[in-house]
Amino acid sequence: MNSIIKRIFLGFFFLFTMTGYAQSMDTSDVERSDTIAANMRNFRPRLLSLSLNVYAPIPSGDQFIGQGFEGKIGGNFKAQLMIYKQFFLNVGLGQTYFSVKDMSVTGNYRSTRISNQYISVGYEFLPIDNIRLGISASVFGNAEYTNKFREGISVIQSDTAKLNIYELYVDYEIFYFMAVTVNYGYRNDKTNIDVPQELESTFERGQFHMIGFGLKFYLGDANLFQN
Amino acid sequence: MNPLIRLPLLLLSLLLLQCGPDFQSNKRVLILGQIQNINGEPLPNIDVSATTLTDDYFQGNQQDGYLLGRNKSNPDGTVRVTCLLDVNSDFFIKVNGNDEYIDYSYVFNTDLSEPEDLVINIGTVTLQKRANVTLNIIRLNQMDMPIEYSISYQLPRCAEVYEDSLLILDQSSCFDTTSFNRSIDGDSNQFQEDFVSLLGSIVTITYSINNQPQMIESFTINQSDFTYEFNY
Repeated sequence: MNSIIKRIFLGFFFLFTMTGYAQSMDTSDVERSDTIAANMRNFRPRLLSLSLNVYAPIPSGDQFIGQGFEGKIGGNFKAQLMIYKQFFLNVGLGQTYFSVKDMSVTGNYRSTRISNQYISVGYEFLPIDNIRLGISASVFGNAEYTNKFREGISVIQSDTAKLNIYELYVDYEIFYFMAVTVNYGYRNDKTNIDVPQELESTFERGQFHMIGFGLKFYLGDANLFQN
Repeated sequence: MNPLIRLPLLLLSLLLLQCGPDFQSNKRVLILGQIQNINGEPLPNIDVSATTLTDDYFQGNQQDGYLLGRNKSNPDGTVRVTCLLDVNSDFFIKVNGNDEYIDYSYVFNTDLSEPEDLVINIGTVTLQKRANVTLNIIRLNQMDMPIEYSISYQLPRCAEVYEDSLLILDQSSCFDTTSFNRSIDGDSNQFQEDFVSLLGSIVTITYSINNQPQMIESFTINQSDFTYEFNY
């Protein structure tokens, strides 16, 4: 198993380094290749990164998730595009699973799956070699809460929300093209649930923390808009 | 029929038969109420639940309903139940009296009326105590004497049907009086009747011995396990 993983890693490694080599050879402009080299040192830019993460959802706050849910597991896919210098744009898709521990808070259902998609903007710091530290906040996003009643029976009810997410990550670059990423996120969704006045303070927001890790793959070695 | 036509038809009918509740998205309703006993004292820890009603409910089968929400009453007797809402099924709220108290049911049809402001206020619910009654009918007289009797008592059942917060009287029934008749041959000298009724309610025995004119005897149930001896 280990040797297969090693081969895949090496395969990716050669693919990326060869691509990089071919690109630098293509340009006959010495000045430009110097700039790229300087960029590589100072900004270590990568055009695009793709990451897959798993995380533990941790209910938070005194609203319906905090009071009525128990976190199971979550996973997401993120595509991060470096726009200018260390600023990036991120597209995220994910699913988070909860079980209901107190139906007197939520109404009767067993479990909830939250599907979400969002776009966030962020900034990446490069504190030391091989380490990238990023922060981001969502600008657009929505989430669908699918509430399931019994296992095996497709009786569901759904709620929707405007998604708000704040994220923080630390990447450790194992290879030029790949990093291990540890991330934290805080979700503070604004729900669209129609409730009586007495329940507004319970259903207005869906709040939880996410702590997880994943793998990140880098593609390209420039920003979208070179400075 | 051609099997090529039969199969899609079968699948279509299966899809149509796949019934279940049709829950409203993005909606919760709140049931509010106050639970007390007949002395006006608050009753804590009383289970209140809401389910959708299935058509066979009135045949006595509540198993197929979907539970929408459940909670217990607070120490001050107030109760708040957060529930989902089914689009077109009856909404059935049950105050579960367990062994000590008699269940109370509040029914309303969401097809006819969506709760105003998403709140269903069941008001103050006074739970009556349940009583198990054992009635021993004993013939003291040595002679063979046939007896015919009718026992009338209040049923331990209360269901109120509402539409737009108005009680629909002809569909509601609370502690209705029921009766049953029996005749015992002359050679039998003891018979036992068991039934469940309300604590504090009155049981009336209308009887006729040896086809004589009818007589009436009544008693009040004053204990939760109450035994009464009727001698003749």
